[in-house]
Amino acid sequence: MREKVKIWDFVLIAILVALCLSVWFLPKEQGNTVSISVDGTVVAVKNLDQDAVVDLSDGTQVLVENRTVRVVHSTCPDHLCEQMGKISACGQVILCVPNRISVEIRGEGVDGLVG
Amino acid sequence: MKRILCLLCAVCLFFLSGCSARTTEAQTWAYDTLCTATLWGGTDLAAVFSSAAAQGQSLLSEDGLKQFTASRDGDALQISSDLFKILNQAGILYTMTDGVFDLTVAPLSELWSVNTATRPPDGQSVEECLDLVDFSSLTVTESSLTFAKKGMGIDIGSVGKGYGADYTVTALKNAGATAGIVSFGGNVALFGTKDGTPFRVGIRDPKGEASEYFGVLSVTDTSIVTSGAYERYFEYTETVYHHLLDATTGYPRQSDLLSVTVICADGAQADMMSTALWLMGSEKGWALYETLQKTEGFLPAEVIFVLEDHTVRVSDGIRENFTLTSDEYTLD
Ligand SMILES: [Zn+2]
Repeated sequence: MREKVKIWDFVLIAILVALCLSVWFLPKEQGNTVSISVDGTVVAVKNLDQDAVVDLSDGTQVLVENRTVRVVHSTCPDHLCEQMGKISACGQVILCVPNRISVEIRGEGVDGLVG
Repeated sequence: MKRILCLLCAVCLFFLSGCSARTTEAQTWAYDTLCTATLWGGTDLAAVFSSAAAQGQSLLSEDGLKQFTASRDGDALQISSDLFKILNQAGILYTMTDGVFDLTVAPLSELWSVNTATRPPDGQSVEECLDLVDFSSLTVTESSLTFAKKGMGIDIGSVGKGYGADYTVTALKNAGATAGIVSFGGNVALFGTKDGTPFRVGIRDPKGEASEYFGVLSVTDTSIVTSGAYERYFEYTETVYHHLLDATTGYPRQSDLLSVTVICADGAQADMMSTALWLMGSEKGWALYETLQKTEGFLPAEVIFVLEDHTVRVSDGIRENFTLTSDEYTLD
């Protein structure tokens, strides 16, 4: 009898642990637009549904392809931004610190709609 | 063993709850439109919301009327101090728009009945109706509003949504709500924050579906109202007739603006301002906005103009809180 109780306890624990872990492994919310800004000013907003190449005035090139975004070319000295690879989930950001460029994925989520 | 189990349960529930406080979703009908709210904190907030929405509706005029039509020359209406304030602002807007914006447009709006009409009224009726639209013939005191002619009137509901949203926010705060977003048929009022982050409010894409927006505002403790011809209209022989009437001509006003959004702590002011600025068009409208910023009786406001050519003009004070999310539009 005692044994049985223990087994069910472990089963319960296993289920709960699995539930907890699943929260961490749930796919992140997919983004819908990418917002590119230079020095804090938004210079381009692109829809992730459409592939596009964005050329910034300083020579930086951002590529939107298959709902992912990456910096394909930069004039910065370290090229860390190019090495950051692709981003696609809501809230992900590529930063180019030397050139003060940020590339951020934004989601659909708003709390309300006016108009 | 049991203790470990309990602890695990607690930990798991904490993660599953996503750490966010409990919210209340509320819905009610008032001002002939659907009013919704998402609220944080407090208890029984849905009931508070419904009753405040109904109550605010009747607070503007003494007898709770949404609409008032003078039944004889010199007919008067008892008004609240809040409506007195609104009438003062309306009077200033009437003067500054040379009568294009006129709060006494009600008889004309009824003649057009854009919501249900399938064809425009005949020119003769429009002319006759124009005689009944004249803000300057009103006699306003702190407690009464007197109409010069029989048949004149005001549609309190048309300015009431912004006021009503504000009124419910005050009631909800008093009932213990810590944060919330209230929408009265597209007029939005916000208070507090969600765990320290401001609310994200989408501004409807004037060329898109009802659920689409072209930009997002991150704001709190304010009201937001948008006006545009896209809201209500009908088509007749390939001409679009919308609800934003020019009170000097009696016909829908032509404007080079797709929409005007006003962000202001006073919802009733935001409501009237967005209509008046849209009627004036991009250039005169922007000049009027700048004048109102220095006009006594008006609270500071921020604006977002969407022009016909899809450029978006944002006032300085709100630029950092606004993000364009559609590539159909460009920032000015
Ligand atoms: Zn870089």
